[in-house]
Amino acid sequence: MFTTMTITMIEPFAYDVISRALLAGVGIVLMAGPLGCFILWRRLVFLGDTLAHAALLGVALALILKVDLVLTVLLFSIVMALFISWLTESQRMASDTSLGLVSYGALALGMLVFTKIPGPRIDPSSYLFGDILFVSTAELVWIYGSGILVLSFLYYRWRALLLWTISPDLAHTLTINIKALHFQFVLVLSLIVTLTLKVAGVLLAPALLILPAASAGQIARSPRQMIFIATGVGLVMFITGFGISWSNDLPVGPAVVVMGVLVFIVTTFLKRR
Amino acid sequence: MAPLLRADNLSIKYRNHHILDNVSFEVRPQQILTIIGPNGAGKTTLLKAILGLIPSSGGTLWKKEGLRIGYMPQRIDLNPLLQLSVKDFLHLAEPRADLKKLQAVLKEIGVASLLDRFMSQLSGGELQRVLLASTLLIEPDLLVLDEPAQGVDVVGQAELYRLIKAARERRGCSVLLVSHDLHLVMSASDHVICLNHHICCSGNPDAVRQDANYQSLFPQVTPGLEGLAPYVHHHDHHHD
Repeated sequence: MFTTMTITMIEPFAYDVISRALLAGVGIVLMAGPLGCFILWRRLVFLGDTLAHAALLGVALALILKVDLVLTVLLFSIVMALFISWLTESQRMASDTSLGLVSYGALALGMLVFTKIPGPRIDPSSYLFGDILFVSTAELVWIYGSGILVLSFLYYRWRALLLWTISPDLAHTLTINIKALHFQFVLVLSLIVTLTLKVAGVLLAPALLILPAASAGQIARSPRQMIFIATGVGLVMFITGFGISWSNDLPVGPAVVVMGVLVFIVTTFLKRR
Repeated sequence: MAPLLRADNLSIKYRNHHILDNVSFEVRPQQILTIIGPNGAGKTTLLKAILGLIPSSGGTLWKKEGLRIGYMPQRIDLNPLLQLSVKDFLHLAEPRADLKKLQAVLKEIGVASLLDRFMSQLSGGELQRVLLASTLLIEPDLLVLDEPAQGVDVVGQAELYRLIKAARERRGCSVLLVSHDLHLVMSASDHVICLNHHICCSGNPDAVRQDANYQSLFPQVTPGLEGLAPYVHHHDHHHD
């Protein structure tokens, strides 16, 4: 209590920045770990990657139209995800082809639109690599509101999601509405990708989803265990990465991702037999 | 007795291409009905239409009200990162089943020892048996099995068909199965439909074997299989 007050009195601004950033990062890894497990199981890594890259165009559009950033990027991601589904399902395009098309197409277009935003030239690097040190209260509300939504979705749709992962056809015959489930998953994935951008930017955001789950996958002995281990790994990777970046004046996003890779390397030695 | 399922002139088109053309048949109670046909003949499409996974473009498909279908897909995605035990998997298929019921159904299929094994570590034959067990768990009226014997060696295949027959006898359910291998499956069936987009011929296994349409669809016989099933040598070793 006393220490806290001292810090607040000495450096109120720094204290506020750190606590907000920690709060945001913790909220994000709490949902990224569990959802990341489903992304790996369902082999949707490249979809997460694509939505994150494409989000740069969403960011650029929000800035040029002067509309709410989170909401615009979220809507844009959902549209992109549905566009990809349409390309693969209705147009029979190979899924890696459609993902590549959207990923690089939207990223490049986003970079071009960025140069046309009126006013002083905006450096896109904070959107490419993230800037968790500038989290607004509204963004914190988004993160924790979404966290509750994402985790309840995974909890209440657990059986349906696992059956869908194993075989969508089998899930259908066990009376699970696959179309609705797919749409809900796309919604949740878009939401989390949008919010993760704040921590790690469009280039590294997918790593926050994938790395904790990948590490957990090395050691977990059941799907449920993998979810919990991924959550723990996410917390470790974020807090250590954040600490290292703060004490060595390094960017947060890359530091967190590097810690995630280190944790992954450690788990390969703990790999279950 | 009234059939469980009936297709009347069922047609499925994809981009003006007939995948199924005027297919009519019915599944009777306690019948084992096998659909054979070459790759790409529309067998899996027919099953998917029956399961309601794809819409038909013509004809009708009637199912008995409240028909419970146990489905065994051709392929399931067993990501090694998804450490799903056999017990977990069976619980997903039927969450209301207790441990005793899971053990009983595995025992029925002769794989009681697999309960705590991981799905991704099962052999081809073990996996197919666990999948079969999962279809029985929901106490189906109709088993729909898509290539149940794939990835299983010949001895295992004969055993699998014996188990399917035994399950039918014990439970009184009907079985609709699809296969592209011929002799083992045909000797286990009551009725065979030979499908190549349309029904080429159908009837009991012996009648189908004698049918000219069947013989022109399957001119070759896998060497070595002759001794394992009642099989009438009907080709002339002439390849064109």
